[in-house]
Amino acid sequence: MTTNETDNPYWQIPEKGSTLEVLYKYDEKSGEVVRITDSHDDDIRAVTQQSWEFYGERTENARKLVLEGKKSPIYYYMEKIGMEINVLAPSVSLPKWKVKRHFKPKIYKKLKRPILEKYATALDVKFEDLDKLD
Amino acid sequence: MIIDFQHEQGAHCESATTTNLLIHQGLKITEPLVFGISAGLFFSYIPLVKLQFAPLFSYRSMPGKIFSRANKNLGVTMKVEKFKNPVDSMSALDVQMVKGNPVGLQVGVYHLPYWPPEYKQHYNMHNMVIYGKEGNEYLVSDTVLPEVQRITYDGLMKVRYPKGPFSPSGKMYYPVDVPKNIDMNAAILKGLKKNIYEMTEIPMWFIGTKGIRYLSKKLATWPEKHGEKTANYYLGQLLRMQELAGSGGAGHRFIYAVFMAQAGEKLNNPKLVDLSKEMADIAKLWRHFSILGAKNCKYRGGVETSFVELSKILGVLADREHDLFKRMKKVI
Repeated sequence: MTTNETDNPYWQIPEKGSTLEVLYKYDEKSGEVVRITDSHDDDIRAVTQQSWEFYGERTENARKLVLEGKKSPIYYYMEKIGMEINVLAPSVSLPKWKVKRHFKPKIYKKLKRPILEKYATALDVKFEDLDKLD
Repeated sequence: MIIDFQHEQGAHCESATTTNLLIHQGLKITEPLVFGISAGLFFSYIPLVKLQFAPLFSYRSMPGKIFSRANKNLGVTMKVEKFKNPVDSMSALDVQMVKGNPVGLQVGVYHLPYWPPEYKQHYNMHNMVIYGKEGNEYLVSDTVLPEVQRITYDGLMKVRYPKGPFSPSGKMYYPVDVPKNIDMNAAILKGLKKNIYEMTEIPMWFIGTKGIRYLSKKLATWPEKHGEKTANYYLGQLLRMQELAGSGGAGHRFIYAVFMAQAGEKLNNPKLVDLSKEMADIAKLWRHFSILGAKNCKYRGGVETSFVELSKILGVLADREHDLFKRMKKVI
């Protein structure tokens, strides 16, 4: 594995061999393209890992913004599950501009329970845990 | 109710699902043939459209086209339905189960219980087949995995109605008319001609071989324009589309080489078989590109392979693919 597993806080992808996919590869011996079932090579697994790191950093930044009082918790949870506003908004049956307003801590504090429960469901988190930033 | 359906893992969900449904109807067909007959090979680079915070890259024709074009060129009629009410979509599925018809579905992958965790994302254009129902569970033939799976009624309804772009609205499809004598060779020729057109004759700078050339020029400017980190992320996204989005390797170029070889044999065209070897060689170069590019995707790494070097390889790939399709036009 090209990425260092031990000091990478975003290490996410499972062991090589746990996911087997159909791949078409050039077989040097026969000079033909053959169909095999295998894990991806280490270099490509590094590319999967990069996307987890990218989203992991976005999640960390989101957490910081919430702790600094610049964004509301639902913004953090959206980033945590790699969701974007074009999925979150229809998930809670609201237009995007309204969801963006709810990212503001002052507006979020005034939200009532029914809409918060909708957000919790959409964001795969329990209603009671919304403020915990786990 | 369990239908005697042959589950086969495949490289790409749309072509593999279509293949399995056609094989169930008695066609002697392979995934490479379906991919080629549907003219699935493509390239586009649309920087203004963002997917996962990176430009839109595509190595295959628009989702849905592999299914629709393969069926059209083979003369197969599939019934395609969507439903406003999720419960209706499940009833319609159950009707086909009772009739013994396996059904293809378009679903969102995020809530699939068996999905590989490292690929979990909000993506709504996945295809799979339901081939049975036992109690409250449906039997799933999902070509992404080697073995068959199961999903509950509620679970299935949830993935048939995900939120977000390209949501399927319970889309389901199954064959309703399959001709007794299918002219496979005619279908292959249609696919080849369409693919030549799409890769070399569409007058848009961001499509086909022009698109590869366009990307090659732009890629060299990424580090200066966007900074190293973002440039590496965009490169990573290009490589994810090339190697991980069910391409079977090298942006579908390997599977297309296999199609060309199988097509050449069926059409009794040794020149086409020769050209398939050139396509395999091009695929190897794409793969080489991805190995070099992946060096830039390491954790806290910088730019190990220069973007200028990568851009040169893309330039060569653009030229070689263009040349190949031009030669193919002359021999078919």
